[in-house]
Amino acid sequence: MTEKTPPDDELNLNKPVAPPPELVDHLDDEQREPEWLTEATERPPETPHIDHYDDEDDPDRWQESEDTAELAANEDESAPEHPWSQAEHDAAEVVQLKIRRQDDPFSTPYWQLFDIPSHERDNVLSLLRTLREHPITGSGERVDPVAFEHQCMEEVCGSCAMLINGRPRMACSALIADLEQPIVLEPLPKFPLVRDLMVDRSRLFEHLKRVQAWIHVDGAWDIHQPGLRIAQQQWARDYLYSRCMHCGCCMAACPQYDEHLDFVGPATLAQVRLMNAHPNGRATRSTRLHAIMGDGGLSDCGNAQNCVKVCPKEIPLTTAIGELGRATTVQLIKDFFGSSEP
Amino acid sequence: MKGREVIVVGGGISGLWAALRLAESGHRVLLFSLFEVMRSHSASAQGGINAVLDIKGQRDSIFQHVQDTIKGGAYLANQPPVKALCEAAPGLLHTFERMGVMFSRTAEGLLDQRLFSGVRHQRTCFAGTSTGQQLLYSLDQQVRRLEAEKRIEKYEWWEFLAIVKSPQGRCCGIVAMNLRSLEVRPFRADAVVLATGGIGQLYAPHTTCSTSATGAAASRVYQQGAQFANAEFFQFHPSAMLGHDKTRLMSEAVRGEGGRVWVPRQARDRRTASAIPESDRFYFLEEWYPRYGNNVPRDLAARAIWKVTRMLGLGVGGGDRVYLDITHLDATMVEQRLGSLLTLYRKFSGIDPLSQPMEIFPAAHYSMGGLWIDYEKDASGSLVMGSPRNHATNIPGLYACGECDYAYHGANRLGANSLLSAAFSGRITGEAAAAYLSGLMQGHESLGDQPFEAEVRYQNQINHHFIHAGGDQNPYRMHRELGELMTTNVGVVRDNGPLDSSIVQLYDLEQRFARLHLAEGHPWANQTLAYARQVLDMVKLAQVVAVSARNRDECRGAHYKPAFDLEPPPHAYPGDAAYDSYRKRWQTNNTRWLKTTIAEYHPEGPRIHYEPVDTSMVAPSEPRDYR
Ligand SMILES: Cc1cc2nc3c(=O)[nH]c(=O)nc-3n(C[C@H](O)[C@H](O)[C@H](O)COP(=O)(O)OP(=O)(O)OC[C@H]3O[C@@H](n4cnc5c(N)ncnc54)[C@H](O)[C@@H]3O)c2cc1C
Ligand code: SF4
Ligand code: SF4
Ligand code: FES
Repeated sequence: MTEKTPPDDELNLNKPVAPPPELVDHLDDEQREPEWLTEATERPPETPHIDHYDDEDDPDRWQESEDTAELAANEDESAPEHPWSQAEHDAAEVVQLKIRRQDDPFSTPYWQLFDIPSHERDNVLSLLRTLREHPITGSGERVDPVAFEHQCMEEVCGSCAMLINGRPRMACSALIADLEQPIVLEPLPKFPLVRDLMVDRSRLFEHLKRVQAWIHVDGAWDIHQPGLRIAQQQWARDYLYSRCMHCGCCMAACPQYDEHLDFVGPATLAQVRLMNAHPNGRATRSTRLHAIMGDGGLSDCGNAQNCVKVCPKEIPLTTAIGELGRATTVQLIKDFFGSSEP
Repeated sequence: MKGREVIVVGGGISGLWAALRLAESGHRVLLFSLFEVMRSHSASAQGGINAVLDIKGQRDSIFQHVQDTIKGGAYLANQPPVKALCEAAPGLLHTFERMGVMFSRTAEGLLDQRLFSGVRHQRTCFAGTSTGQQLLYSLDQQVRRLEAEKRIEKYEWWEFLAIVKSPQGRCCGIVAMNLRSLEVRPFRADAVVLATGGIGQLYAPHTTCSTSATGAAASRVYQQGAQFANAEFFQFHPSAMLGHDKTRLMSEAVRGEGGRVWVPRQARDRRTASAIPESDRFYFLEEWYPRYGNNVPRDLAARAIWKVTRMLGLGVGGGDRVYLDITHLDATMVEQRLGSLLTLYRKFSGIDPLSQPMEIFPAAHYSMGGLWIDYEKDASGSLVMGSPRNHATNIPGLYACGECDYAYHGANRLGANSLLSAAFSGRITGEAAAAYLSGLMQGHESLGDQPFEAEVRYQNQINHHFIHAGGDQNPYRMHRELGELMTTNVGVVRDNGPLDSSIVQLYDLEQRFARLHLAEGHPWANQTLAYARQVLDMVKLAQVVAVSARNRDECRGAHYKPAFDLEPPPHAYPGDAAYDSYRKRWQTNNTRWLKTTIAEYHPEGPRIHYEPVDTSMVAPSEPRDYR
C-alpha cells in the first residue's frame, strides 16, 4: 500500500500559514523592532529585506514606549553593585582566583584577585565563565571581563590551555577540588600574548606546514577502492598520536621551545612520527625526516622529558622522539649512500 | 578555466570538505572561522560515522541504510538527498582512510564497525572514541597542504556578520569582523558557502554542544532573506552527564556496546545502585521496546527517560537522572572500546563507571532543521552530482552545508549519520558551488563598492550601539534565560500553551537588547561584544524554532506534542483490527502534516509556509514501531 504525496494546495505550498489567533493578537498590538536597530542603525538599502529598518515615515515604527522610558528613569545608577546573589553565596564555597591580566600585547601585565562562588565539581573554566558575568574583583571593583579561550568544555578542542598554579594544562579539566588556593592563572608561555589568558598559537600550525604533517593524497575524491589494511597492533600504537589536539601544553613546558627559537617542538615531532607510520604517509617519509634533521628539528630537543609529563592526552612524546632519532639516523646513512628509496 | 574567489564560512568537517573540493576545482578559497579550524565542534563527535561496508556478515545494504535513515527521520527528509548520501558513504569512508584517519580495525586490519541505535546492522565506523576529531584533523591537514600551496587562504579569528547582495539579490561577498582588532571588513566573492554548524547553544547550559554552536551565522542570513526549514525538529540526546556549565555527552556507543539504562522500581529508593537487586531494577527501555531495547532511536529514548523521571517520578533520588550501567560488562573490552568516554566521565564526575553506574539525562544535541536548500534529482531518484542546484539556498550564490542545512535527517537523526552528512554535504556543496562559479558570466568585479561599504557601516553601527548602550541587561544572563526558556517550553515535550507564552517571552527578550549593558568598552579582543551580538541573533533564531513548533500540531520524530500523540494501541500488531485503524489515522495525519516547515524572516516574527516532501523511494505506508 503506497501513499502519494498529497496535492500541493493541501500543503499550502508557498502560501503563508496564518499564525495561531493568540499570536496574531500579540503581533498586532505592538511593533517589535528594537529602538536601537531602528534609530541607531541603518542597513544599506540595497538589501531589500530591511525596509523596516529605514522606513522613517512609517507611523507604526517602534518608538521608545512609555514603559521603557519609565524603566530607564527608575534605574538607580548609584545603587551599589552586588556581585553575587545571597543565595548563590550561601549555596557555594568561595574560591579565590589570582589572574595575571594584560590588556593587549603591548601593555604591562598586572594581577587581580577574585572571589568566586563555586559548586561541587566545578573546574577552572566554569569559574571563568561565572566570572565573566560578574567581573568584580575581591575588593569590589568592577573590571573588564577576563578574556580566555574555550570551545568544547570537555578537553578535546585544545582551546583552553593556560598556566594553572604554574603548570600548563587545560582549564576545562582542572577540577577546583584538586587545586591549591588561591588558584593562580596565567597565559600559556612561549606564545605571543593576545589579551589576558588568550595567546596566539598560530606558530603551531606553521610548524606543521614546515614538517609537511599531512598525507599527500591526489585529491579528495572517490578512487573506488578501500584503503590499505592496518594491523590492530600498529593501530594501537599510532592512534595515541592521532589524538594530539595542538593545545600547546607540551611546548609551554619544553625548555627548548620558545617564541624566539627555531625548534618545532614535541607535538610537531609526534605528528611526523604519526604520518610516517601510516601506509599512505610512508611514501613521503624522507621529506618529513629531512624537515626535522636540520636546525629547529629533532636535535634541538634536550631530552628534558617535561613535555610528556604535561600532555593532557598522555601522548608518549618522548617515545616518538626516540623513534624519530633512530629513523633520522637511518635516513642519514641512506642519504650518505645516495639511496633514492625513501 | 579561470578560477574565481569563493568564501567558505566554517571550518568544521563540512566547511573543510567544501573548501577542499573548491580549491581542487581551481578556485581561490577564503576560509573563515571563529577560531583555528581544528577547534571546531566537529572534534567533539565521539561515536562514529555510518557507511554500509557489510563486513560483519549481516547482509547490510545501501537500501537498508536509506530506509533506516528515512524511517528514523519519520519520513520528513526528501529522499533523493538521503539516497545519494547513503550511496556515497562507503567511498567517503575510504577517502578519509586515504587521508590518514586512524579508524579502528578488525583483526584482519579492515575497518571495524559497531552497532548504533535505531538500526540493527553494525554500520558505524569509528576511530577509537574520537572519531570526529580524527575526521576533522585529516581534513585540516589536507587544507593546510593547500594553504601552503596558496590555494586556500584562512581567515581564522574572523566572525561572519552578513552577506552582501547585488541589486539583483545575488550573494557577492560577506562582511566579517576580526575578533581581535574588531575591524569590520568586506570580502568579495562570487559564491559563499555557509558551514557554520548547529544551534545547541539555544538550550545552554543544557546542551552537549560547544560554545560556538550558536546558530548566529545561520540566523544572520535568515534575517537577510534565506529560508529556514524544519526548525522545530531538534534532537535531545538521551544520555548526557549532569552538569551546570555543560551537560557532556555520553555517547550512545555505550549502549551499543551493551550499556543498560535503568531506574529503581521503587520511587526514591535510597539504596546505592549496586545494592539494588536485579528484581528491583526497572530496565524501562528493554521492557517498553523489547525488539530494540537500549538501542531505540534517540527521540524515543529521550522521551522514555522524560516519562520515567518527570511523569512516573522514578528518577534516581527523585531527580532528573537515570542510570546508564556498564558495570556488568567485561572491563577489558569496555576499556579498550570506550576508553576515552570512561576517562571523560571519570574526569568530569569523579566517579568510575566500571564500579558504579553513570547518571545521565537528556540534553539538547543536534538540529535537524536548518537553512533550506535545493537539490537536483536524477532519474534513479538520487542526486545529480555536480549540479549547481545542490545545497543552494534560496539566495543565488549562497550555499549551506553541514549541520546548518536541513536536508538529511528529517524529523530525527540516527546516530553517526551526521558526521556522514557533514562530510557528504560539504563535498557536494563544494562541487555544486564550483559548478555555479563556472556558469557565471560576470563576477563581483562588476559590482561597485557601495553595497559593501554600506553593510560595513551598518555593522559598525551595531557595534557602536552595543558598546555604548547604557542599560542594565547583561548578555550572559540573557543567554541563560534563553536556555532555560527553550529547555522548559520548547524542549523534549511541547504544549501549545507554554509555546505561546515562550514566543511572547522571546520577543520581550529581543526588546531587552535596547537596554543592553555590555560592561566592556575595550577596543581589543572584546569578547563580550561578539558574544552579545551572537545572543541577539540566537534569540531571533529561537523565535523561528518556537513558532515552527507552535504551528505543527502533531508528533513526529523529535517534535513531540502529547496533545496530538498517535500511539499504537497496546498489544495490537499489524493484522489486528485495532492496529489497522491506528495505521489509517497515522496515514491521515501524514496527509496533513508530512511536509517541510519553511520560515521566512519578517520583522514581526517568522512567517511559516510548507512544502511537500519527496517520498519517491520509501513510501510512508507503515508507522514506525520499535516495540
Ligand atoms: C557531543 C557531540 C557528539 C557528537 N557525536 C557524533 C557522532 O558520534 N557521530 C555523528 O555522526 N555526529 C555526531 N555529532 C554531530 C556532529 O558532530 C555535528 O553535526 C557535525 O560535526 C557538524 O559539523 P559542521 O561542519 O556542520 O559544523 P562544526 O564542526 O560545528 O563547525 C562550525 C564551523 O563554523 C564556524 N563558524 C560558526 N559561526 C561562524 C561565524 N559567525 N563566522 C565564522 N565562522 C563561524 C566555526 O568556527 C566552525 O569552524 C555529535 C555532536 C555533539 C554535540
Ligand atoms: S602533544 Fe599533548 S600537550 Fe602537546 S599539543 Fe598535543 S595534546 Fe597538547
Ligand atoms: S624531551 Fe625534548 S621536546 Fe620534550 S620537553 Fe624535553 S626538550 Fe622539549
Ligand atoms: S574547552 Fe576544549 S579543551 Fe578545554
